[in-house]
Amino acid sequence: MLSFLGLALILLFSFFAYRNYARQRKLNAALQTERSKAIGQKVRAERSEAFKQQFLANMSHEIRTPMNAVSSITDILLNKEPRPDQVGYLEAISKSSATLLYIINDILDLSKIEAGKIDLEVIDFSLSDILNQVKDALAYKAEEKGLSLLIDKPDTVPDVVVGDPYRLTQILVNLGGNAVKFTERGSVELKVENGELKMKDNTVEVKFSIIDTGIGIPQDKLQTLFENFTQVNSSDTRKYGGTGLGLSISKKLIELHGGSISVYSVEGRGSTFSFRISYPVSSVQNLQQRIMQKEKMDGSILDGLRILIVDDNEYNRLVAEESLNLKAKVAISTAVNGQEAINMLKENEYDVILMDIQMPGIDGYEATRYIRDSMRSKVPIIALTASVLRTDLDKCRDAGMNSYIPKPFKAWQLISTIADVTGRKTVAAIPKPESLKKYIRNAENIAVTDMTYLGKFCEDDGVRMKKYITMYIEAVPGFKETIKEGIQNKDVENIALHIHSFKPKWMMMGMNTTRDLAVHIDALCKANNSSVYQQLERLMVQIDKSVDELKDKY
Amino acid sequence: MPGKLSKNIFVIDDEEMYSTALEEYITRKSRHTVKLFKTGEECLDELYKTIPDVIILDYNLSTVVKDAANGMAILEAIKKIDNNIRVIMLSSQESYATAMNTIKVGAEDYIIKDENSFDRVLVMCNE
Repeated sequence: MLSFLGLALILLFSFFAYRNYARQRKLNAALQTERSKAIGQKVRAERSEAFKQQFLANMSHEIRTPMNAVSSITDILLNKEPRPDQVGYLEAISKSSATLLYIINDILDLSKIEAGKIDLEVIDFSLSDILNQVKDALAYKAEEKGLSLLIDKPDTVPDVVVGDPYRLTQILVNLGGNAVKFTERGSVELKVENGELKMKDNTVEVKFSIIDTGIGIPQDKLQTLFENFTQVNSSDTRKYGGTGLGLSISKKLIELHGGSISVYSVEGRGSTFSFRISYPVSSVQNLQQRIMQKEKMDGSILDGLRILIVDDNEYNRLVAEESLNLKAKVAISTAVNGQEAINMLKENEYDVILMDIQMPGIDGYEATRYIRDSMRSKVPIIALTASVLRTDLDKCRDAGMNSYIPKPFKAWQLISTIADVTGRKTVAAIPKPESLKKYIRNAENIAVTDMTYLGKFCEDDGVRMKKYITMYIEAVPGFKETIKEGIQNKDVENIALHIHSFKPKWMMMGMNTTRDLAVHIDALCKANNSSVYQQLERLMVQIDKSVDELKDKY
Repeated sequence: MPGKLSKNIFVIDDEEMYSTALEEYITRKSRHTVKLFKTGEECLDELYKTIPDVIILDYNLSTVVKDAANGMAILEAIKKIDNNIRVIMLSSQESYATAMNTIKVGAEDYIIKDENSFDRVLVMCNE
């Protein structure tokens, strides 16, 4: 009996042991499968990432090459005295291809940003210039819809900063364009304010706000606003158009700058989009110099150079050759691939080589490496590249290239880069950033009046000048009274009328800042915008100052 | 009459700085005579007696004399009296829509009151 029980127990025990063992094995097997799956996915993901990068690079090249041909050749034709009836067509082609390029860039941009491949420029630029460019870009549509377009940038915000003006313009045009799009009446305002001034590293945090009196955004839609391809209503796409990528790109660009974006909106009243970016402050003189250098860029500094253009695409060769011949007296030779370029270099001497990258057979990299290593030639080589991905530019440098010009290029870029690498131009030294101190003081020491124009008009006759100055000073008290009354009665129409008619007086007294302020106030009055009262106070301050200055002088 | 050396010019503008400067500019640089009016109504009265060679008309006229008719209305009235009178509009307002409207009603040109305007007005008068 006992042995029977014992046997039963042993059997039971074995049964459970075996079951555990079987389970364990199953688990291990399952674990193995999962592990293989995971490894497989990782490999596929990595391959996909590499594929994406390659795709980006290819698409960039494939799309930009013909686009370059279209826009550059159109520019060349416009320079060759077309018939008056042809000018219109050419300009239409030029505009359409620019728009197409814009849309393509949007799509490629988003891909680049998501792949983490955007590098921000580091150059001096003027915030006022950017704001004016943005205003110009939006002006036509705004005027069509009867909207006021306002720029508010006080003098207390430093004007010239160091950063990427193209990306900033892109963000502002996107947000501004949206504001104009979704506003049926009233105004769109671009406002710039000082955030923090960091004395230690000489940076200023600039706050940009785009304020509109449009249809607003429902609270529950604010969350998904910045995601790709969303628009608040699918019916909006029909009515308002757009790729739906703009906000997403803007947000990502702002974040790339280390900044942040926020939105405040009331349905039916309007929206305010704000973002902050920190910029190092630059010095104004430097900007003037750089601008003058660019404009003086007549190609004759390249005269006499022997240039070899290497590109397998006939149109690209044509475009580069024509662009250079229009501006300089140079000797141009062409090669259709890397091998031919090498052969030609063996027979002849050149001062600079423009080398396309993607060519069949021996590509740009290989040709350059051969020229540097095997031929031991130090001839300057400039890459003509459709891709500005960091990885590709690094490759250019590694192969031995001296510089690059991205396609599509402008004539002045060609001239400037060639001048650089052939030593025909000295590059401006990098200046030291200006002290921020002058922006902290209120601009008290800047005069509002300027007698240059009046002096010229009156042929420096002091008696005549005094006549106008007296006329001005005597008109001021009455003007101030009228404005004060208007403020009390909140009669913006009357205020606008009187400000408008005072403009010639400011013109004669050389008060340009005041004239600009008057235009701004005019627009605010038309839009019935309550920040007009603040601006009117500024106006009064400037007027008082002007009277003091004029009484002092005369 | 084109090319006439001494023309008769009427200027209708209630803003005294610009109109004084304009009169001074024209009379110093030419042999024309300039007569200033602060309101369109005053000028219209004068038109029944004398027809000038050119009228320079400001677009905004109702700042000083509150009930004065504005530039557009005066322009129409002038054209009714004599459609051939040359009228040149002046304004501080940079609006293409406004400019187009005045041209449609019969103004010869629309000049914005900036630093170059004095010369442009003189050139137009000399034609």
